[in-house]
Amino acid sequence: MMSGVVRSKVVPWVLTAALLVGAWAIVKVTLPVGSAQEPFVTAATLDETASARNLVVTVTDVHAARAVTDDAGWSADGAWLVIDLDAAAQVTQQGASLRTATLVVGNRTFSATERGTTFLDQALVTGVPRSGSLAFQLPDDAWTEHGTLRLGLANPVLDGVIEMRIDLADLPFEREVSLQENGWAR
Amino acid sequence: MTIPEPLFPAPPAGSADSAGDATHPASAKSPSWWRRNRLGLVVSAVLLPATVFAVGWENWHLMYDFGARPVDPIIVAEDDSAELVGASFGPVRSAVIEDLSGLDVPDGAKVIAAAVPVDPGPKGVSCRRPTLTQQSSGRQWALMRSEIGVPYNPDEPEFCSADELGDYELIAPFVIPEDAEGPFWLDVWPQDSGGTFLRFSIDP
Repeated sequence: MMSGVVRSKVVPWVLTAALLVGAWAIVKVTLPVGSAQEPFVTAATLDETASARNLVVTVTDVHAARAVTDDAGWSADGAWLVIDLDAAAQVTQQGASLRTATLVVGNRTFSATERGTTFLDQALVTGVPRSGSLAFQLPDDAWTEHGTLRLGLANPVLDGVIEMRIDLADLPFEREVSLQENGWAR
Repeated sequence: MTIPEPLFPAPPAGSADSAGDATHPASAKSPSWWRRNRLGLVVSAVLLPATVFAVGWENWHLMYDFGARPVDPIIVAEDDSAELVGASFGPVRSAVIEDLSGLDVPDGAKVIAAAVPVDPGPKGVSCRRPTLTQQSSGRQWALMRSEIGVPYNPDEPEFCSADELGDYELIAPFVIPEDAEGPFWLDVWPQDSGGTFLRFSIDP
């Protein structure tokens, strides 16, 4: 009689509790959605060469400016973050162009501008660095925080990307900055 | 919710408590589990490997078939030529360009140029721009022309065009680091050859 009560009343509750605890533990240890596709991140600092799978980047300068110009005569006013960099491929030139260039500030992600002549989408050469500039137009309230620059090739899924932290609040504003002409790094 | 009837008939009334009893007469003579499930086991033994093979083949096919990627090299020795899709390629000449005056080449880099004689045959042949691969490291380079300031020149084509029926020479300049030493592979991949391509060994 006693075993009948245990079987019909206690076992289901114990099983329920065990399953709930198990489910809670699985939810806790499961990584966020998409983390199986996250890229491999290499941290970079100013003037130091960082390398990912098929990408080698040296960020040579960071400016904040009230206006940018390029050597073709294009110019635009605004609050601009300008990144000067050298970049090369490491293994192959197939698919090796700098297509991923974003700046994450807080929970907002900004893409590098497609206006003007910048290094965005530039084809990279294996082992021989080329240089140019990227520009980000940012809203005024972004300049109080720090941003994370992310650079990568066409598709950063499970590929290597290079990230650099930039303290936007510390950057002195220049009146105007010229974008570097795209070419071989000298 | 309705509870389904048990799949096997319940033991006769009165023996419910002794179900599973070791003295049950049927268990001694009934065929083993392996024997009872032999059909399923045989089917599984065939289907499981077949599934693995089919999934693997499907992915390989999507990735590499249809001539989507050059996967099957025909290695051509130095000073040799080879035929593919009715056209003849080679023998390849190559050199490190010493006189870089007028060219935009950075310090720490050198220019390797390869010339591939092409006899397109009666139907003509198309091919992509050749690529250069360092044999020791597998590092690969693509053609560089506008980057070093060599404009397009119809007399020095960089890829094969099916419209060209006479003999001509592909000219392929590459910018590589100064310390990259040969030998290299020069890969030429004609269209309509599937995944087959020609791999010339050069050591300029």
